[in-house]
Amino acid sequence: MNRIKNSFSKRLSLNILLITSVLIMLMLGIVSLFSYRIIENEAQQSARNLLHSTIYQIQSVFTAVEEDVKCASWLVDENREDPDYMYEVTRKLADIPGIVGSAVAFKPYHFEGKYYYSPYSFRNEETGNIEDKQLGNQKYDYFFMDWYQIPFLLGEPCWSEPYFDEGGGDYMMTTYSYPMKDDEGQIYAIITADVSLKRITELLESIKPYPNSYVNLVSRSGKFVSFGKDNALMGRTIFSTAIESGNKDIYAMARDMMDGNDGIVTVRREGKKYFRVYGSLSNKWSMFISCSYFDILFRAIRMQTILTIVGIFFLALLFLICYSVIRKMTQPLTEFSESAISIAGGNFNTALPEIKSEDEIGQLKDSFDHMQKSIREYIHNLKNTTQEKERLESELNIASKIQMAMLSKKFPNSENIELHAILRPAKQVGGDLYDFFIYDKHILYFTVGDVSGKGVPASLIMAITRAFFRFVANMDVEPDKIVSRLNYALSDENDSGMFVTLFVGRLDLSTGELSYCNAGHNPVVLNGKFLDVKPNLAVGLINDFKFELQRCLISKGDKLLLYTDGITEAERTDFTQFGEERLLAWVNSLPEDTDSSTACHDLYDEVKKFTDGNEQNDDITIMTIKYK
Amino acid sequence: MKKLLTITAAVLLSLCMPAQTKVTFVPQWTPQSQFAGYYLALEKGFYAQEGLDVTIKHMGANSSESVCDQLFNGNAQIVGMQLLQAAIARADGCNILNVFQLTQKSGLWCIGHNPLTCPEDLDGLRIGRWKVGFSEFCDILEAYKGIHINWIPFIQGINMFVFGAVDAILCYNYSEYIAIRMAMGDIEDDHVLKFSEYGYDCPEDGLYVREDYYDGNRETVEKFVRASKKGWDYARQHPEEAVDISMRYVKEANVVSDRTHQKLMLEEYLHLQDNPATGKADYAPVDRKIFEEMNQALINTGYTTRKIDFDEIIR
Amino acid sequence: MDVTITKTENKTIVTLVGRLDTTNADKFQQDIAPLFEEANPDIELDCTDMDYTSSQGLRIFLMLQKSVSSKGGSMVMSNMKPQVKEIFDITGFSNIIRIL
Repeated sequence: MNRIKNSFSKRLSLNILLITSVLIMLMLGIVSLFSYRIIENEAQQSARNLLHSTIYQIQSVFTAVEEDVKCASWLVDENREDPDYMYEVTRKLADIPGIVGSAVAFKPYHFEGKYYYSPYSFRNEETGNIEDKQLGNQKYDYFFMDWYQIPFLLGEPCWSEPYFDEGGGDYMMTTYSYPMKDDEGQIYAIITADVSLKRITELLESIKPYPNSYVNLVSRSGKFVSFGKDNALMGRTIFSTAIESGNKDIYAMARDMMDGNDGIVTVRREGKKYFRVYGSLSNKWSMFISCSYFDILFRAIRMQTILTIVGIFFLALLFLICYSVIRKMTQPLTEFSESAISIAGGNFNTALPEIKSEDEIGQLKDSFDHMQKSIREYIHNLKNTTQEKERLESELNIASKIQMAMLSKKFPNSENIELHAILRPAKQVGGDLYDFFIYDKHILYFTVGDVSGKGVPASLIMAITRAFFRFVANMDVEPDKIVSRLNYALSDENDSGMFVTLFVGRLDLSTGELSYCNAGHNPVVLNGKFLDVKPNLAVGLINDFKFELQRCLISKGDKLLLYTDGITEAERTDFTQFGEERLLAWVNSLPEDTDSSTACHDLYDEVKKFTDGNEQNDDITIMTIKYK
Repeated sequence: MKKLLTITAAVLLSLCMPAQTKVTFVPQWTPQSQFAGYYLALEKGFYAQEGLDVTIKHMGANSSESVCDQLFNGNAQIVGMQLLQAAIARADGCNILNVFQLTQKSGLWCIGHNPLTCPEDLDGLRIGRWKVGFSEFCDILEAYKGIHINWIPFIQGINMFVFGAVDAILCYNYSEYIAIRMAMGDIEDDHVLKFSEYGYDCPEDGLYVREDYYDGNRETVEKFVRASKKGWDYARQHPEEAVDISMRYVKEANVVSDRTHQKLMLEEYLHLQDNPATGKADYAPVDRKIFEEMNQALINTGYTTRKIDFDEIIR
Repeated sequence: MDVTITKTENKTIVTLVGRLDTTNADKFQQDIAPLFEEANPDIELDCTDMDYTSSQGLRIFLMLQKSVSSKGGSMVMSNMKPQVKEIFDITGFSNIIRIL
């Protein structure tokens, strides 16, 4: 049983498992494919919406300041000849929530004798009060400051690059600069409003559509407003990170975004896929939201993971169930196998496994049962048959010996007769016969016969025939009488249809008178020629058949050859028969002085030589008589 | 007992080691990879190997004193200066000597919002430039090319160019040009005018010492120059490490910068060190012919009133 | 020996092909066994392609004839080859079996 390395139940279970797994995976794949598409589209749309709503929020902060400054510009313009009034303006602006400081910086000598004149008001963070000061001096040459110089050169308002206030703080500031023009269109002052980016930064950092997504605002020169974790983006620009990434898509996105365009880009970087939606504000700042596909598809992935885990669990369960069910169902097979081995080992009474089901297994059990019974019976019969056969064989051997013993072996070899005969049975008990005896010292009775059929029945007929021949001949009657009587005896109630061909001869040794009767036997050869014989009919067929006696006279030196069809019908493998012609040729090639015994054996050898090892399938009997 | 041992060890150590000569070096700007070679010479111990105990001090961004002043107020023995400024200072009576010429070419470029094909294209444009230190070149440019430029001096950097407040900006290829790329992305080649291609190729950064210091400490100066060269060679072979060390100096000085910026800066700066004649960084001394041309230009534009002899300043 | 049994309206034709010898005599007897069961059979044994018969064959032919006769039928053997006819002649079977 250890031969089973991979049991049928395990293999079948694994096959079921494999097919089921493939189908489930296919199903999961199709489901995920569709859900991915939908989720991806939804995520991009919602990111876009989020971007635009956030831009709107931040934009509104900037716009509010722009409106406040614009209002203040009326006051500045109205009072452009009153230097002290400017503090009123700056204080008002600085007092507006969202604005932390404000200045009105005048060009050199706008007011007579004043090279620098820039009233500045700011909220003192500690006291909460608005404080004033005058900004310009030799150390703070504000004419060369970006917040003054750039709008001055551009001739239009602008938002400065984000910067850290001198006072410090973790959040950056930006300054809105508004150039004031006189009647000739010449700029005479710049109104500024400093805005803390704290709230905006906090807003940016609070927006987390997904755990790993981030939103950032980028200034006009590419600076990040929010620095991210560990201030990693401090001092960096969108192009700096894009160049560092070495990713063309990221760089192209930065370029497009900084050109003031809206868009979406999908990027693969370090094995991660994410998309960025981007858009711009009116002050030429830009904003983007970066979302990792992992996050976006997280729900799908989580769903898929759950499905996969549940799937694996159920597959394992399926395997176990299949395995145990199939094992249970095939358990009888294993038991049958054990029974079969046991039966093969000779224990024919081995009990078969108990099966009650009426399925294939039940059928198998019935077949097995039947087989076992058959084997048992067969073995039983075989034993009996073998015993019977052995018995029969030994009996047949005995019968054969008896039969051969019945044949006369004392061949007459006197001054006027020389007779020899041999009988070679094809089976142990033959159907051929020969016999001879000398009656009253001068009458030779001789016969050669062939019983149709073989084996014991034939040999019985043969024994009867021989006994009859002796019995009848001993009354010194002519051969036709012997044959007739024998025919009468055998025909009586002969249902088996057995018959005997027979040649019976009577030779008067003193005169050479030969009388004979042939009962359907092969013609006798006399001196190399066939003796004239009438066929009559084989003995045992028609009880009142009239057998004809024939006579002739033979001379001294004449030779008679009697034989059975075992000679003429001896066959080679190609079914060529020895035949009468070869027989006559042989007789004629025989030297004149060959004795009877030698002639018998020589003919037998000749026939054997002819059949060339082909099995002898009929008895062979040869009798030679030499009249001297 | 422990204290005694420590003292003994210190004394023994000082006996074994040759006495370290103290040197203070001031490069001409705040920390950045423009000075990576010197940082490496210090960090990798090339100065110490020469028996020098070097301190690197940086100029503040808003310092009112010039780097040349550092040699005379006792803050430094060795400073980094540009040849043009050094020549003017020498003419003005500062007895300083060029002991090492690092860059071999001019890195002075002009970047425009519109394509610039030749210096003549600059005529009539509003061009931004640093408020301090560029007027000599600007005057030479206008005088030699016969053009008039509306120069806009600035002190806060490249923003005015980014905002479009000026048509073009004068910049060093290793510094402002990089900053512009960080702010606006890459600039098309035809928007860049390289003055070195139009006859102005005055080498810039070198090392300067006071003449009297040189006379008394010639060996120290030579050691410093030798170690500095090794530092630059090392930077050329290990640019990433050079950038990392530069970034450390940047951060220690609380200067806001960016590694990408510093990396690109080092790349450009190393290119400037290649000798145009040999194509290799072989630290060739100032070419006499170029020096004489520069000398003449300074006289022509009135920046110097006397001709400075080459041998007077170059060692 | 191949045996083909064909039934026509008034007789059964049995075609014999090949050799009938000791080795296949028993088989032949089985093959023609149905003929022993026929109610009123006239049988013709077509021996055109029969090459040989042994004495056992003769016995079977004889038994068949007896069976046929006992039921009032007749049996004939036809188109026998000379060498086969010779066997019938020698044994005298030509005398008791109708050979055409």
